Order: sequence, then structure tokens, then C-alpha cells
Amino acid sequence: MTGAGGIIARDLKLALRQRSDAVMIVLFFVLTAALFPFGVGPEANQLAAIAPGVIWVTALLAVLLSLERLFLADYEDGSLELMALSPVPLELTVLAKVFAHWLTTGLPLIAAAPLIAILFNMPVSALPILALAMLLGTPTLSLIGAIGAALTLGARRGGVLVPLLVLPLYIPTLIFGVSAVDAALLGFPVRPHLLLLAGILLISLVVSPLAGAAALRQANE
Amino acid sequence: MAFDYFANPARFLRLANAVLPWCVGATVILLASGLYLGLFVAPADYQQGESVRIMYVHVPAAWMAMFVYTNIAIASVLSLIWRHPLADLAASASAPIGAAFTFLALVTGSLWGKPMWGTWWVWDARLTSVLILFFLYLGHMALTHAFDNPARGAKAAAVLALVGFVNVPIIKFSVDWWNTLHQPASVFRAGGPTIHPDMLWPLIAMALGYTLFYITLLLLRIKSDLIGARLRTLDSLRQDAA
Amino acid sequence: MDAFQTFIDMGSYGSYVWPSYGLTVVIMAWLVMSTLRRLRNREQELARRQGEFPARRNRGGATDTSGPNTSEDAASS
Repeated sequence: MTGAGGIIARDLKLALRQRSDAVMIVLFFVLTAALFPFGVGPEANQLAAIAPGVIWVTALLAVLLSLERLFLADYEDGSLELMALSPVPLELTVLAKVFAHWLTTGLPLIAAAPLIAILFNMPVSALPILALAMLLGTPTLSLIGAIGAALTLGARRGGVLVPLLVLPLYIPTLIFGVSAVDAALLGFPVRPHLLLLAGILLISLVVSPLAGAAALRQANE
Repeated sequence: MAFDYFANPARFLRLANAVLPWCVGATVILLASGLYLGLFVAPADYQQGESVRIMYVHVPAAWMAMFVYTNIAIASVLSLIWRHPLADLAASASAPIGAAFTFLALVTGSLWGKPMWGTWWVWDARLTSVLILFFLYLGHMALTHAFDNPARGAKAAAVLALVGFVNVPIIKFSVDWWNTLHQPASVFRAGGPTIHPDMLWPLIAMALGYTLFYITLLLLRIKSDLIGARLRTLDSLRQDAA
Repeated sequence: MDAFQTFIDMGSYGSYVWPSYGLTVVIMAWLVMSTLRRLRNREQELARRQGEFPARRNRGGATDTSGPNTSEDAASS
């Protein structure tokens, strides 16, 4: 376990040293969301209606933007091969790296989401549910994204390939993430949506380390 | 096990060459009779009129979209766990065929939807999940060919196919859920619970015809991939000699 | 002629039915042709290479151990 903790600590230290990365991702998130009023018009009710969808879609794109750095540096400088050889199971290493990734992307996105919600005139009462849904949904985005990032290591045009692999798999999270916030806004029960988000998170927690580790082993061969 | 028997490509090629003429013959007969039954014998639907005939090319294509993806997933398991040498070839040869059938299902569905729904596209649960399946196929194909080393591409694509296969039911479920939230009234259901036998036979003939068409092409593609591998071996031999 | 006209018309759905069938035929034909073209190209390439190196081919038994999978392809295809 200390091995996995070591990887998280190391990745976090690296991420904190490059704070600009997390800042850029949040900036991308806010800026992209801020484009929508120019696209659909400044009408307040309309913006409030599309707010949950805009927040989730832009969060998804922001996560996508950050996926490339998940394994690439370790792959290029050879530390990935050391990780594969170390006594810590590679599956655990993947989980640790995903956790570090989430701490530096998912968490900042959750923190920035209320800002967009307010800019889009979304009722403040739905903010806790938005935060909760993102808390359950963004780790899934990191987990699934890690599979895509690991599979494309060493590929030609790896950067453009990741969205093609990962976006279709993001759709369930997007659907339930948005429907949870929509339900909160309309006064419907929120629990089933959140439970489904949690269910998808649990499945991803099982699938992602297995598939990610298999992909990393292939990349090392 | 049976699939071990075909681990030897030469043996596979012998079998493929023996089976291929029969596959071609059966494909032609089934597709011809399916077309004949579907276009001339089957009655028009009392609600949808003659437009129901699109069903005979559309529904089997949608079935094939699922069937071929399932086959790719099975081949991926054989490739990753048992390292069966033909499994990677079967998966990479299946993907373009499956993608083509998925594309056909989407476009013919759209052509059927226009007179029935009044628009080319509705975000109906079925159409949407087939669209996502199409994207899964495209990702699989892109990943297969994204590496200089074809073996690496095949293995990566196998992992992706399995992850995608786990996701297919989740995607289907979430799209159904999302669809019922947004479109409470289902406009139209294909076929319905009871289907007239005169409509069922062409459907069965077309579905079997599509399946045999797929098997025929799969055998031909694996065969040409095996020759490709042989050519690569010759290349490396020549480089060694030089 | 009249029966033919009504057949083509498909109860006024002809402009949807025929493109569906037409596209199906086009895509399936394209699949067949691309598959056959690739197979033929590779078979010709293989025949050409083996013509180039008749001597190598005869000694093939020894060298082919490096690629045992493909030793008999040419004979059976």
C-alpha cells in the first residue's frame, strides 16, 4: 500500500509543481462554457435550461484535454517500465495515478462549476446536487479516460485518438449527471440518478484498473 | 478445444478454402430469396404501407451491428487470454464489416423514419444507441491501425473491444432512461409483438443471408491478412539476407 | 407496365424504399470488392516475390522456422 501511496504522493507533488496545468484546465472549462451564451443568445431562461448540460459537456471536454499527461511522461522517461517491474501491482498503480489525476482535474472542475452555474442563471438550490453529481461522476471520467490514455501510448496521432475512444464511453455518465441536476431543478427525486452515477463509478473502479494495467503492459512490451 | 485446432494458419486456410464456395452459394441464395420474398411476396403493413419493406434491409443490419460486435469481443477474449493467433485477425477483419452494417442500419433507419416520424433523425433510444455503437466501431478501427507494430494495435484494440462490450448494456440502459425522460410518448415501434409469417420469412432469410455474407467476407479477409503476414516474413528474410 | 409502375412507386414510399435497398447493395458490393481487391493484390505480390527468389524458396524449410505460422500459406491459397 505504501507503494501506491508513494505514487499518489509523487504524482501530486509533480502536479502541484505544475499548478499551471490545473489552472489551464479550469480556465478552459470556464471559457468554453462562456461561449455558449454567444451561441444560443443571452436569454436568461434558456441559459438556465441548458446550464446542466453545458456544465457537464464542458467538464467532460476539460477532462479529455488533461488525459494525455496521465501516463505520457512516465512512458517517455521509462518510469512506467519500473512501475511494471515493481512489487506494487500495476492495477494499483493505475488507480493511484487516476486518483492523482482526479485530484488535479476533477476536483478543480467541481470547484469551478458553481461559477458557471451562476453565470448561466441556474437556481442556487440545485448547486449541492450539481456538486454531488460531479463528485460521483468526475472520478468515472478519470477512470475511463485512463484506459484511453494507456491504450494510445506510443500510437501515431495519440492525441486525436483519445477522444474517439473515450467520448462514447462517457455518454452514460453525461446522461445521469445531467438528469440528476435536471431532476433537482424540477423538484423530482434525485436519488435514483445519483445511485446510477455511483453504480457506474463502481463498475469503472473495477474495469479501469484491469484494462488500464493490461494496456500499460502492452505499451511496455 | 476446437479453436486450438485452427491455431495453425495452414490448417485454417485449407478449411476456409473448402468452406468458401458453400458460403458464397448460400449467401447468394439466401439474399436473393430474401429480396424476392421481401419485395414481392410480403404484404404491405396496414399502418405503414409499403414503407415497411425497408424493414427487410434495416432490421437485419441492426442485428448484424450487435452480432459482429459480440464476435469481436469474443475474439478479443481469445486473443488476450489464450493468445489465439487467428483471433486478432478475426477481430480486425470483422470491425469494418460491422461498422458498414451499423452505418447501413443508421441510414436505412433514417430513411424509414422520415415517412414515419416526419424527420430524418429522432433521438430515439434505438437509433441513439446504434449511433454510439457506430462510434465504438470507429474507435476500434482507428486504434487497430494507430501503431507501427500491427500486433500492438491488435492487442490494444482487443482491450478496447472488451471495455466497449462491458459498456454496451450500460449505454443501452442509459439511453433508454434518457429517452423516456425526454420523449414520454413512443412514436412508433417496429413490427410489434405479432408479425405476419409472410413478413417473418423474408426477415429470417435476409438475416441469415447477412450472417453468411459476413462469414464469407471474414474468411476472405483473414486469408488475405495471413498472406500479408507471410509477405512481412519474406520482407524480413530478405532484409536478413541483404 | 402499370404493375411495374406501382411496384416502383411503393405506395408513394418509393423514394424511401429504393434508396434503402440501393445503399444496402452499394455498401455490400463495396465490401466485397475491397476485400477481393486486397486478397488479389496480396496473392499476386506473394507469387511475384516467390518467383524472384526460387532458390530461397527451396531452402525455405530451414529459414521458415522463424515464422512457422505461415509456412504453408502459399501452397494452399
